[in-house]
Amino acid sequence: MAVSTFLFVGGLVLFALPPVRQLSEPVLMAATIVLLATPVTRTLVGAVAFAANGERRSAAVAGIVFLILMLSVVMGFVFHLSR
Amino acid sequence: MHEEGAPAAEGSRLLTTHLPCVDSFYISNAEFRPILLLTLSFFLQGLIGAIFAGFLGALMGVGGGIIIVPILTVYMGVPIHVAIAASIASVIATSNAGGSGYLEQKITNVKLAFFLEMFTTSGALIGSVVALYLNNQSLFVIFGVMLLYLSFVIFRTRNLDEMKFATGGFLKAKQDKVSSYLGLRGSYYDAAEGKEVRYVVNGSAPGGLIAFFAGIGSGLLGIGGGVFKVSAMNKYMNVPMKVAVATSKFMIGVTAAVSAITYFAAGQLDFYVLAPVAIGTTVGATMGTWFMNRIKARNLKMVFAVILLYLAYTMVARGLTAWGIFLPYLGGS
Repeated sequence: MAVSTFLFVGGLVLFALPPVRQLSEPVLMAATIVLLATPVTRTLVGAVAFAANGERRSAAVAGIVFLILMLSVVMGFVFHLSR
Repeated sequence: MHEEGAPAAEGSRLLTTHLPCVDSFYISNAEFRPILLLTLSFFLQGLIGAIFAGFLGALMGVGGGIIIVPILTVYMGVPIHVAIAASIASVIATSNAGGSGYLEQKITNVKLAFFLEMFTTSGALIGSVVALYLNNQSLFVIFGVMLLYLSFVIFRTRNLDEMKFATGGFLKAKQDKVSSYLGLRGSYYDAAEGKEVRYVVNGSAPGGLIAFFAGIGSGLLGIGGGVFKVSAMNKYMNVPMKVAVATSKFMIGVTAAVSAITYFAAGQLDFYVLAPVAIGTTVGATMGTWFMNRIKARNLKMVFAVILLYLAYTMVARGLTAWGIFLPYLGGS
């Protein structure tokens, strides 16, 4: 969270400085990607943590959620490519 | 794309607004991506609105999307598809900021969160794809009607916690088979009530069903869907309000990620709208989390219900203009 917030602030600062304004978009894009990756990572860590604690049922539930997240990545690309 | 006077994409049409912060923008027929005149005023409005939305969202266990979308569209003139995309991505920031605080306070029920997440993420995937094909006015009306419903539900359940605290009802409820199989129960220390509250989860079926529709709402309207989940957990699953809020906050980031990834891939996520919104909601959510466990649930619900009622009206009033029905605008432009 701190990384994405830092990048968002940095991107806006770059936008405010005309000589380096072009750099703001890639920085903001990086911030967005880090932001989107956070819950995906959290879910994966949750599944692994449950499995490590021997809580197989909860690990399976978290694993299903992780698979749905991966499916959204696939669906997003499919939608993009179909346009 | 945001430079003043930048050329529009071929096949685009020029729309103008009279809003002070948005001079004019092009909407590409293919991607709906606007060219906004970015000013300090625009960023400040986005930032302040997002702080307010994040603060209120953290108090109620929602992502703040139900507040930020009306602010972006009604007060800042951002097209609703772009507002929804920015909102849903910022919900992840809110969830990260608010969710970690509740985890530290041991209010969040992580097992319950993942159980319900199976249903909400499925719904979010469906909702976000449907939203890509809906026009602006339909989204305004759907959004407003949903806010109206939520305002009603929150108002109706405002005394539920206090009634159950008084009777010890949170522990008396009988677990259903799914809840028992997954070990869905827990406890937390309620600072406002000054005691340890224990509870068992039941109503897995209605809870899962509502979570699925919450997911559809999330993908469709750019909200975390937290307000549906909080109501479902609190009313149908025997979960105390504050646990429901904390668990919902943990969940909405995952739900929002599904929709945000879809919008991102579709090219509707505007980084310059998202940036102040994400920063603001993070700040607001951090503040709201600190306050949440120190005030009475009933007071939370009353304030929130009134705000939602007002926002519902402003959204519906704008949506109905497309059908020639003109209601007075109470705020906004």
